Amino acid sequence: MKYFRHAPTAHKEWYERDAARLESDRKLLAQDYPGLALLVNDSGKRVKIVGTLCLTSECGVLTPVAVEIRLPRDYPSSEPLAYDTERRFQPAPGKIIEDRHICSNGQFCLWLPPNSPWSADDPQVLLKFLDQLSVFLDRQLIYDVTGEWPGPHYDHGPGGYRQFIVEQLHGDEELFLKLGPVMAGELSVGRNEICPCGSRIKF
Amino acid sequence: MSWNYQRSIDRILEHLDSLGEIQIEKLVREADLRSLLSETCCREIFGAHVYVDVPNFNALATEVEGEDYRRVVQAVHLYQREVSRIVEQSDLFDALRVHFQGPKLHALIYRPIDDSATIAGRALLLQIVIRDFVRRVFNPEFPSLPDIAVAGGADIGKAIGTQDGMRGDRELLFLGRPANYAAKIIGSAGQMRITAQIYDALPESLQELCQELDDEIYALNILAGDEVEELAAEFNVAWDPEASRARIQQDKRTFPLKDIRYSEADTLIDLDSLGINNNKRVLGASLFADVDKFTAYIDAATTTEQKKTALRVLHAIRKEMAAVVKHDFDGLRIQYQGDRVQALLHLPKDDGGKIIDKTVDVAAALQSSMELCIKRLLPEAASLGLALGLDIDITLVSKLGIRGDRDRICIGTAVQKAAETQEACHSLEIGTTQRAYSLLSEDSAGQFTFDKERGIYVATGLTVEKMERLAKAAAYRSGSPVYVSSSSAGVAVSSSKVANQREVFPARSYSA
Repeated sequence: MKYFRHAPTAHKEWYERDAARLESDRKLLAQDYPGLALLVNDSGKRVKIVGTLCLTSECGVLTPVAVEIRLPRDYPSSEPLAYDTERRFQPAPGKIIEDRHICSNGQFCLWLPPNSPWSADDPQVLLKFLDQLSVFLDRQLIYDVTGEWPGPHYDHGPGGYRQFIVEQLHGDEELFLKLGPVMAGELSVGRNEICPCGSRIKF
Repeated sequence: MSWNYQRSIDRILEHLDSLGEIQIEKLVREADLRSLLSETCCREIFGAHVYVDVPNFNALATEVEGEDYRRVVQAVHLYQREVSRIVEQSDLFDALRVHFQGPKLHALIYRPIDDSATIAGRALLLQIVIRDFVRRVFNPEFPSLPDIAVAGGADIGKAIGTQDGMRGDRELLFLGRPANYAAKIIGSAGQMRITAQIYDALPESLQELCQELDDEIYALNILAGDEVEELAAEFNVAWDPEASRARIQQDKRTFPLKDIRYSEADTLIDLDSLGINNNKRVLGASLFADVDKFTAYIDAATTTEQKKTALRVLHAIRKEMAAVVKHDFDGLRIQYQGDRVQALLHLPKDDGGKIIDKTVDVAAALQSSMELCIKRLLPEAASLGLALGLDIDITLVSKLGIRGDRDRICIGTAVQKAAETQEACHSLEIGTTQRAYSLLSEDSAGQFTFDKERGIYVATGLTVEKMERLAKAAAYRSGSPVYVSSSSAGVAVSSSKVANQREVFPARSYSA
């Protein structure tokens, strides 16, 4: 021990630091999503929610979808990621899997990251996440029938971000064209230079 | 009411549980098939199946109005009465009148047992005699109507006979190639046809009366009246046009035109109340649902066990089809016709758009029952599927015959077109005519595409669940919130709010 000024302390995972959160999330699943189970993998220090979401149509037809929801190591500060474990959803003929908002690794793209409704402070946030996931899967089943994403969505890839930014700029495409190179890091603007947006004020 | 998955599963299970052990034996001695056959007491019967259609009746039942309509109704009923006598009377053909499919007779000649030459001869003769009856007796007796013309088809071979229903509402069903194929070879009005199987079984003297058409089908020559009577006498059939005329005239006195009534229907038609003096004339959608490839399926069953399995499957399918029409949608199940079911929807009165939309809902529900429930509970039905056809127009609804031996019938151009549309469809398809398509709501019409080759609109794989999703797509497009409920039974996402559901504004999805 003389070699150490302090005794080594093992890094604690979120569920070790916040056992109450782990317990409340487990209870939430048991009550509202009993088809899902929260698992702690000791060796990999990973926590995930696995199981089947059984979507029920109004006429009573059940469509089971196997999912895996990976909780990040800084959970609940960061949001989980959900995956189509059995690759239930495939590209529509002549289209790519991203057209239905699923990445090639099976990850469901629920929303554009800057638009995430995830709120670490909300004790019900996991329930809200699962509800959004259920709605996302419901839309996937509609996509199976129509081959088109039901409702508003962003393009995949950089196009989606562009749409988002233009929206933040209140649809001002011209402004986007001026600021775009700065945001993309292609154009460097010094702090005392005039902003390229055309406002004539300093950047 | 609407279709529900669990209700359908429960119904099928209940029916399978109550079905009992199916017995199939070869018919070896003469018997009254109406008394002998039941859902479980089935017989393999060698016989000739004869169909004789009167295509004009369909047009008359749709197009004629007012006072003349009563003449049409009287003609339909009296035609059926006399043709039934020709088929069944012991001094005439002593055969089995299976039923009338609207204006189309289905008869079975199976006596003497296994005597193929006599059976084939009498099948040919029955067509000749009915044609002679129409030409020499019926048309002259109804001079104010356009002359009717008959078209027929006959085939011979083994088919399995079974029967549905109880007491006065029993329906004979025959399954197998001859029962199916005989109807398929019917050609244009005035032509009577037989298959090569019948032709080959005929004595040479009768073969001379036939002319070969394409595809091993033969057409019967038209004979003069006295030739028909001579030929009938040779086969111990006492065909006497004068006696027939006397019977028709007696029927006219018994059922005079002044007593023939028809009316519209504001509420669901009570089929049991119908008869020669009480008929309905309604704007109705006809729907035919056929178990595609069932004839090949039952013909491929070689062992008794395989045949029993095939029958069990059929009974489950047809009972469920009837339940969907009747209980899930308040429709009328008109008739079982072998492996197909005929239905009619006529409410709300005179609202063609709503009637036809509802009929598409029924068709989608039938596909759902077949694809999701029957196939889950009876994996042996995996190779089968439903083909459906529908059309809408003015239709005559009635019940032919007397007391315990009556046929529910629908006659009209839409009935004929719906049947033809169904025959042009394959497994998983729902076909509509141009007329029906033009009345569909935008949502329903969007499911159909025009098939140039067949000249019909077709929706493939349309189920209730699929229709629900299409409706929900519109809700998502509107950007409105949806409502989520979750429990051990599953997760439900609804576009309308119900208690204890959580409101969710669908996120705008993205993909990296």
